[in-house]
Amino acid sequence: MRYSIQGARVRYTLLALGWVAFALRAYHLDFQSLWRDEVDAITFATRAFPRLLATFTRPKENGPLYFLLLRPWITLTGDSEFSVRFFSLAWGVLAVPLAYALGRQWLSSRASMLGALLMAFSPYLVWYSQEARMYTLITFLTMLSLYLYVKALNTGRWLYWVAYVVATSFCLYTHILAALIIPLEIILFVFWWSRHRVRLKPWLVVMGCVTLPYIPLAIWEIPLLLSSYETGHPFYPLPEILKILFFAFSHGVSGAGRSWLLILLSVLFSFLFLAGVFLKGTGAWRERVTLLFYLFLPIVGVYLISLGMPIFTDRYLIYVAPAFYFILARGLAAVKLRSNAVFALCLALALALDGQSIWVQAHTRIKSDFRSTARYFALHHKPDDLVIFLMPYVRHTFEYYYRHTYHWADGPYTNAGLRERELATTLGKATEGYRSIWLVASEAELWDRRGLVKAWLEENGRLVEGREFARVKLYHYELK
Amino acid sequence: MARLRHILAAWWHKAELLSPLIFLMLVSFLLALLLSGGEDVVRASSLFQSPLPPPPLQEPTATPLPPVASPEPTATPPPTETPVPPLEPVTTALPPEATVAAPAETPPESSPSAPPPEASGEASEAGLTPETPEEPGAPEGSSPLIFNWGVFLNTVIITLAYIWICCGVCGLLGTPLTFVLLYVWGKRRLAQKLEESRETEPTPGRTAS
Repeated sequence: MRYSIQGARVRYTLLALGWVAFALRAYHLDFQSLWRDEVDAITFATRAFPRLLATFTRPKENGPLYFLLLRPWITLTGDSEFSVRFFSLAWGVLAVPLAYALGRQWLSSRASMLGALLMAFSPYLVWYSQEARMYTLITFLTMLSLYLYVKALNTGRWLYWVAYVVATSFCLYTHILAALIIPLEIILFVFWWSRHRVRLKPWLVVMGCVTLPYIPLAIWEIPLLLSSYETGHPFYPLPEILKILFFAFSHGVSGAGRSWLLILLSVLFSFLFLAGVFLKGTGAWRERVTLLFYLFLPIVGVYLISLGMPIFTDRYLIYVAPAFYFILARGLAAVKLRSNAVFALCLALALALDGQSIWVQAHTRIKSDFRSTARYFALHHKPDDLVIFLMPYVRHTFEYYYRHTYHWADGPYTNAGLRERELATTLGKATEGYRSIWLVASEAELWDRRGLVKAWLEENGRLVEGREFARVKLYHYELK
Repeated sequence: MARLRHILAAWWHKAELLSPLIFLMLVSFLLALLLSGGEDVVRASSLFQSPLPPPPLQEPTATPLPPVASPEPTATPPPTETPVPPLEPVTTALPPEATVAAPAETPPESSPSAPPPEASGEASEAGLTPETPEEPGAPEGSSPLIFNWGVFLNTVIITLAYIWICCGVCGLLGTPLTFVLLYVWGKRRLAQKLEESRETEPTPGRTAS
């Protein structure tokens, strides 16, 4: 009787947490304008079906499964900002109860619930639940893979093994770097050898099965990851990677904010992290070390790959965020064993700081604001004006918001040393026959860091107006 | 008196429970100061937008430029302070799609040949190439395994140095703290022992009866 009451309480709490997570993620879901990766996701998902299927075997395709899943969703709900982001939101919400289930494999019920609570309130996970990309899906799938893996090892039931193979294969086809989950699982098996050695045979079979669907990917993925291919990402040393991830997971993407707030947040989250690692509480040291493996192994993996091919971006490691929150939750639970007052203070502060970061994210234009740019352009341009895009890739984002016919040209790439004379020739040809030119500049430094295109327009024309939106600048010139 | 002693014992028990928390708080304060220094934090927050790799290299013959625009490759550096990658000759700097701009009223689909929509996404996700794989020239930037040992060793040394410094700071704070704790604990033990010995000693009244 007591057990069922306990179970019901857990279920109701999880349900409530799910609703809280949903509310936090649905609030201002379409406040930010779509940025280029999100528009690309729509483009990829809606391309011809055979082309979409071909991406499963084609080299250098990242995350084809996400686009395949997004396709019917777009067919069903349309390609509005709200609908495409809602798909990510759904996975982000589902990850919260799953966090409890996964946490229970290594933590007490209280610590697992606190972990789920921290995940629900995580500004970082809220941000990516509001982004039309595969990041919440990959977080959900890796958690599911780990949950099924531990369940299979503990119970030995074939149903869990089969489900594990399916979930892990889905991970591999959802993000290129999710492959790092397999070394983690192998190391966990070795680490828990004394408990799981009886499952060695099924484990070997299942690992073979997990490897099979990975072979088509591994053929191009592994040589690419081990190459020195120029990615455009800067190289980050390991301490800096850890620092970036610490702030991302604890603070989201809303920037540094006020310095005192940043220090308060750093003190609180470092304290909870250290408490989670070092304080004795419920559970043995092995569980703690398991969580540290879960958190750090993929990070070290990405760092080692980056030594040859810089690839680190915090969101590629989003799937280790649950481990971070589990450690914080364990820290909170350990603090509660010592002092209810300190526990309540820490929890209240953590939730308040998370809430503040979520609020900032939901009310500050952080992503490039092509929505406002296109709206302004639509109101002020004439039919035979020419639009120059700098850098050219942002045209697709612009065209998501401006779906009419217009004249356009790509800004020339000058970062490889294009000289002013050559640029003048190119731009002269591109603008021939036009009198009114619009320059849409976003992330322009990746294309023209010397500002030569703008300088040419200013030299050969007159600036009529200039508007600045978040990460987008719009200039209107009349050529002489 | 016994009540006071009971309260003090309870307080002591509480302090014993909280002492690791205080120690961890001190360490986390130092860690926070270490973490929140510098501008990296702001930079981290802007990482949500992926960088792009440079556009694909193009053979000089692919986009013939007017005679005025064909100097010797990399003979004269461009007028900029920005270092230019030596690999790319000047004549190859132009992406093919940038040279065309149709003045005629053409629909966007048929107007200047732009990179396919896949380009941006492939480029921005996991740092992959912006071209579709069918396009030639994609593997030019890649080479077999080059492990940057210099950077690796540098990172290992810096990480070890961080740990070393942290140990030093912990030692600096921990040593006096340990002595204080030992002193308090010793006093308490002494008081306990005295009390125990007083209790075990037979009282004269009892022996008489």
